[in-house]
Amino acid sequence: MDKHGLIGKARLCKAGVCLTDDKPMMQIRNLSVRYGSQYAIYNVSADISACSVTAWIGPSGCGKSTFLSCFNRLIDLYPKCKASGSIRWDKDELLDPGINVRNLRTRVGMVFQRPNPFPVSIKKNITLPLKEHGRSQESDETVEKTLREVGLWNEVKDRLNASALSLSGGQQQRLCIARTLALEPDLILFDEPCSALDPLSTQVIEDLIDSLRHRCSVMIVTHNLAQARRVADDIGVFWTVEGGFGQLIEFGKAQQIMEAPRNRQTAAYINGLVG
Amino acid sequence: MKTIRSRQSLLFDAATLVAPLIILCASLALLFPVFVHGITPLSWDFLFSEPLKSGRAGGIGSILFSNALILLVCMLVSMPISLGAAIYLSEFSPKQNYFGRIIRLSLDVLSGTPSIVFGLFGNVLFCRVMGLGFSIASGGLTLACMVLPLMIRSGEEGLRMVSHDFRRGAAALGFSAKSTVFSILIPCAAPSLIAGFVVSLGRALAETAALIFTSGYVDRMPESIFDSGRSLSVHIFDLSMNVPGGDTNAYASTLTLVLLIFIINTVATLIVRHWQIGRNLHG
Amino acid sequence: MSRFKSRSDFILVGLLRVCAVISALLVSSIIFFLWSETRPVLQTVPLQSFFKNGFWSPSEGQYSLAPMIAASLLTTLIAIGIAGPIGVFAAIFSHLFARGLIRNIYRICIGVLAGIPSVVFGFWGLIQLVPLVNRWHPPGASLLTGSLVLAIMIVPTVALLTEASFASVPRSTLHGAYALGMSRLGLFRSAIFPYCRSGVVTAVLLAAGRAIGETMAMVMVCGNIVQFPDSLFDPVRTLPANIALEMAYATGLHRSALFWSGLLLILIVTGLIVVSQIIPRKLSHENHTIEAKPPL
Repeated sequence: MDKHGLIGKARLCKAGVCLTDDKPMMQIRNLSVRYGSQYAIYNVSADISACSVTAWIGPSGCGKSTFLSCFNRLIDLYPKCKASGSIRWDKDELLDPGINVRNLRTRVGMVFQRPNPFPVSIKKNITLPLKEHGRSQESDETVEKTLREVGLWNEVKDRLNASALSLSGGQQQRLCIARTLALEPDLILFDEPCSALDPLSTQVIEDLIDSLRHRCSVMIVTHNLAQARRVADDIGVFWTVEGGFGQLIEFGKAQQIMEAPRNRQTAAYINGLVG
Repeated sequence: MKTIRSRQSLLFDAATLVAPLIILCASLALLFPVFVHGITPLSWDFLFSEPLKSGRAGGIGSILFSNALILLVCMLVSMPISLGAAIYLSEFSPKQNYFGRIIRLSLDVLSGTPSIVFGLFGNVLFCRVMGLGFSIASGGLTLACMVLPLMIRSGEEGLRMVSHDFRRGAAALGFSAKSTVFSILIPCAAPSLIAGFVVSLGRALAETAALIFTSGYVDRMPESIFDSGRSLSVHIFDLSMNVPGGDTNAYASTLTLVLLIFIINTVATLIVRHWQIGRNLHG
Repeated sequence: MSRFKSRSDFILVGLLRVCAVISALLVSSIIFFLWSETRPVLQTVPLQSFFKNGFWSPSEGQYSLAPMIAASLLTTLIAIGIAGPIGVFAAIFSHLFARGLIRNIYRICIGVLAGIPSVVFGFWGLIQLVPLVNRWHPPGASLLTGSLVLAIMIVPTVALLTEASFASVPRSTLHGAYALGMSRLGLFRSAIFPYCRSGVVTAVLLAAGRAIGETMAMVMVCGNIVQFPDSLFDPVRTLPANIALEMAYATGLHRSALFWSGLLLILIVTGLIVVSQIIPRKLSHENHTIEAKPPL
């Protein structure tokens, strides 16, 4: 067990020491997304490091969810949505229309604002995605492993065949995280994962996000400044600009953003004066 | 970046593409001959002149007129009753209400009842018991019974779609139930209600089995609604089954019928799309 | 909305109630009048002889409905067997894949097919399909032709009702399945089918009800010979077709027997509708709705 209390393999890091060099894992350049003729976000650029938790903060409506949906190409589901710019991840260009999107989504997982488990049993919620991607050997072990990782195992081990919808909100959200973890992604996207949950569940999930740090990168969109302060390594600040779209007004280390922001808007937002 | 595509998954994808193709081909196979064979004998003359020689020659003028009368009777009778029932079901009868549930079940059964059964019913009630005999009136009344569930259901849906904010506003202003219904709800739901009537018109136009034993077979121009009259669908049936050499005119009549129904359904869709949008507070 | 502010309100609600009652009474009156016409034959002919293996020959006092019931059931079953899968897969196509122009074309297609009168299907079957089948295996008007025409007629019903039941799938769950990189089959299995099991069953049952009651097309393409079919290519006569063909000249017990078959039809269809309404309740007991639950 390493200092984060993790069981199970950590691919990128050993014993809490990050093996990767300082080169950014992901490079976002001039990313813009528009719905029809209206831009949702415009000209966003940033470098994402490996093994980090990046929080995207800002008031509601500045396109943070849209931004997040670019990384697993969920924006493809919205017919009038067009993304331009570049997201380079290792050798791949994520916005390339020729990319195998289904495969991308096994490397990039997503947890949504409201828990959305399938209306089947708890166990099947995890085994179905495994089966889908041809990984159903040792599925029982994976089920136990991932449920332990999200702290659900002891609560549900006696009723794995019960409907997932019979769980509480916090439990459902942890189940959704478990099924994402089962695919062993390199990047997990959290879209305001705790906004529909009570403070106790929120705490559990924040601890969980913290513990994921060395297994994969994490991006979390949140309204909650205190949450960002608690979990993030890097923070990006979004703001709605006059044209009605969102822009990234500042990006940097969490401590720097929270205590000494360079941008005036950021400072105002952090101090609760606006937004 | 390879993904394993199981055979099951490929078969599923194939099936979802083949199915609509089959439907498309079937529709084309159906409509193409109708159009090709029907367009030649079709003309204004055909539409307005009377049939001759049992319909082998001549046109369908009297038949269109009879059909129009049948539909008129049908709509005049069914519209008020269905509107009343729809208002009652949507405004005065919460879904759990016992009475409401019985009515809804009855309407479901009615909408599933085969048209030939309506024909039998109409024959007994309207032709015999009410003494109307084979007449346009009997046919119209029978059709009214048939379209009732359809109109009530679409009327109720249209009324339910009216935002509750309107109703609350009316209540806050002290409106009586009657005023709320007539001044607010019906105008708001009007496009949906009208669309429902139009769709029912299309349904009634397509009916055959309910009419052969109620409105009869006579192909002359009717003098009144108590005369027997033939609908267009019955005419097609007669020409194709009982009249040798009637195929040409059957094609033309079929094309007319299909075009009429298509126009009616398109009108209904357009009404809902362009007139209804923006009438509700929250869409 | 149950305050009566004035007398006019009271009258209004009364009138509205009358309208609603008329609709409810309609079903009972249909059954009542059919029953009154049926009574003579039921009092004369024993019940079993309608359903026993036998002949339909009213002039000789033979009233076996069995061959026609068999024909109705067979045509319906074959039609459902063909139209069921096609309709469901077409609905999946429309809901999951079709975008823009293709979706609109599909919608128009299904809409047009759904509105076409049965007499047009019958006419087309008579002129185009019967000669085709005849070339394959005479005679052309047979059980097979009837089933095929019936299948085309009920496909829109299955497709539209199934697609309507897809609306009950929460968008969020569907997106969750997409986010897990599911294939179309995976999407269907995990996010759609669990919500729509009962919807698909209902769609098929209602389509079956429509198929059993179909009259005009069956008169025109089935061949109209009252017999138990030995093969797909035998001409048959369905129960509704029988009514349509013989009502014109039937009198006395014969006419009464035809009303009896009409009554049977409405009873069968009512049975199907009642079953289709019970099934969703049974299936949804396995599906919990998302309710507010205490935290953790």
